[in-house]
Amino acid sequence: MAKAAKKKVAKGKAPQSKDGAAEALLAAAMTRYGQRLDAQEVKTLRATARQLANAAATLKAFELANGEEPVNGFAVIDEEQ
Amino acid sequence: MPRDSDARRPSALVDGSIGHLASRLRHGETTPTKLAEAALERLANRGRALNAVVTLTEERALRQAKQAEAELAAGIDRGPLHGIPWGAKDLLAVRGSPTTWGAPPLRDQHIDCDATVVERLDQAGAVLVAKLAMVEFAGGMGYDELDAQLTGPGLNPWNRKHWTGGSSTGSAAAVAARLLPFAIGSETFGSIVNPAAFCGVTGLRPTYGRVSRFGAMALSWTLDKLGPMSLTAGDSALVLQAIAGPDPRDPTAARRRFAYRPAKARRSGFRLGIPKGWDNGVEPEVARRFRASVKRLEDFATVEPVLLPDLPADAAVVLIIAAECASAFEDIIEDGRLAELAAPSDRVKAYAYAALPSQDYLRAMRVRRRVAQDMARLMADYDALVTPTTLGAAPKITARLDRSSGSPVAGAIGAFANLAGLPGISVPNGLSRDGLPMGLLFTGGAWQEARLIALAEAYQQRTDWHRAAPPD
Repeated sequence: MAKAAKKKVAKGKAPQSKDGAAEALLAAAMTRYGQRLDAQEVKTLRATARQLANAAATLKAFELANGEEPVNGFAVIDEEQ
Repeated sequence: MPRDSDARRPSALVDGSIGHLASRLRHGETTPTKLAEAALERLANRGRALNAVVTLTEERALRQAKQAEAELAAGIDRGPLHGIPWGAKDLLAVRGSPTTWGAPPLRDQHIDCDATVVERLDQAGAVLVAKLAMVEFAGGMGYDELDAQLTGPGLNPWNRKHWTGGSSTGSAAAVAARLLPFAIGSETFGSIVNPAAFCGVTGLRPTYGRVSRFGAMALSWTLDKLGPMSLTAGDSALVLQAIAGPDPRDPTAARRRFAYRPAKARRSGFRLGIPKGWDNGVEPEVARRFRASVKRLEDFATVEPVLLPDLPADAAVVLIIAAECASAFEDIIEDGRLAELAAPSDRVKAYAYAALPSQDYLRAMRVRRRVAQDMARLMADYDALVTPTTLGAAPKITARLDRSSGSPVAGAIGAFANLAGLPGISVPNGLSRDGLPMGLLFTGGAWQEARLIALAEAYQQRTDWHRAAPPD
């Protein structure tokens, strides 16, 4: 019972703050490419991650229905045509 | 009467619209070879001084010019571009010449084919004289510095302390400085209309899919477009007619044909919309000029305010370009060649692009469908939306681009229009107090380039801004 209640609370929480998303993006980029970058470049990377996270947050605040597909759909290639 | 002082006045020789030069060719007042030689000389001197040139295609140009000369003499006329010199943004593959994409690590890249637009202009008899400078990777790496290109910063012919705009820097500068009557540029988000405005030329961004991108560098497959930069709207129609059309090598190239008949074009009765909030962030001088332009437009059009869709277009376009750029240039990002780029910011930003979650990209593409649908509905009621092309005139080359509040190279309409794949034409619209050009942008419905060109021509018939030339 207590477990179920806890789960419910976790479900209702926002999965990640905007800052958290930026930090996660930065961490992913640093894991893959961090060894190539000096301190100034890390600063630029952090600012870029923040900009992208802000853009993503703006889009996440916009409600989309389950059936709303991305604009470029897949088309079967028909060799006969 | 033949004016054969051409050879002594190379600067005057290529100074003219395509129509004007084509007429001179057919009246024996000049020859394709003289035009090509003059253009090559101008590009080698003034063009290089403006950092507008990557490669002169001299051998090819003189060969094509000689062929055009022989054909015209024999009565074989391929149309208005026959014998006319032109330049290609250096993201178009040209067999036998380097194709650098504006990026130092690719200075020796050779692509063994001709881009479709190059082939089509060959077929039209045009004479390719140069590969022109561009911002590295067409700006996809997110440059903040204005010297982000292989050949040094694009210097504005109106004032070399100012930038040309980007990313089609050399295409705009070469046409503005009257080194060439037309050039081909590309636009993912602002890269034709922005430098056209900053340099005072006419830039046409066609509908997405109107022109094949085969042989062109891909930055963002779902946003990239190729289009002409020229002196007049009429010239952009002549070039678009030659390069548009289907191409089996580019699956996005539409089957539609493009034709423009000036004699049958509408000259009045246009219905125009001005997006509410058009002046957000617009410099007062540009806003004043725009208001004056609207008065002029009202002589032959009805103008009314419109509301752009309430959708996060700016955010969507940022994420789409970042994600597609990271995929298109994955090899360059992974193998470390980013470190060789000209701009310090370009050496870093794509690492963040490469880490973007896929659902962020897909969400942007889902929002984009709404943008496209709402813009199609809006454009059904208007011949065009009209706005200033840019927020201000060209910045100094020592400035940095501020991306904190949207795109620094496109006005408010830029994200909506590019996401929806809509055409736009920027026409010269006067000079600032500092003597720098400003632009007026008409954005049309999908596949409505002919209507846009007719509108822009009607405006150019009533104004002289497109005739203004920078000091030599």
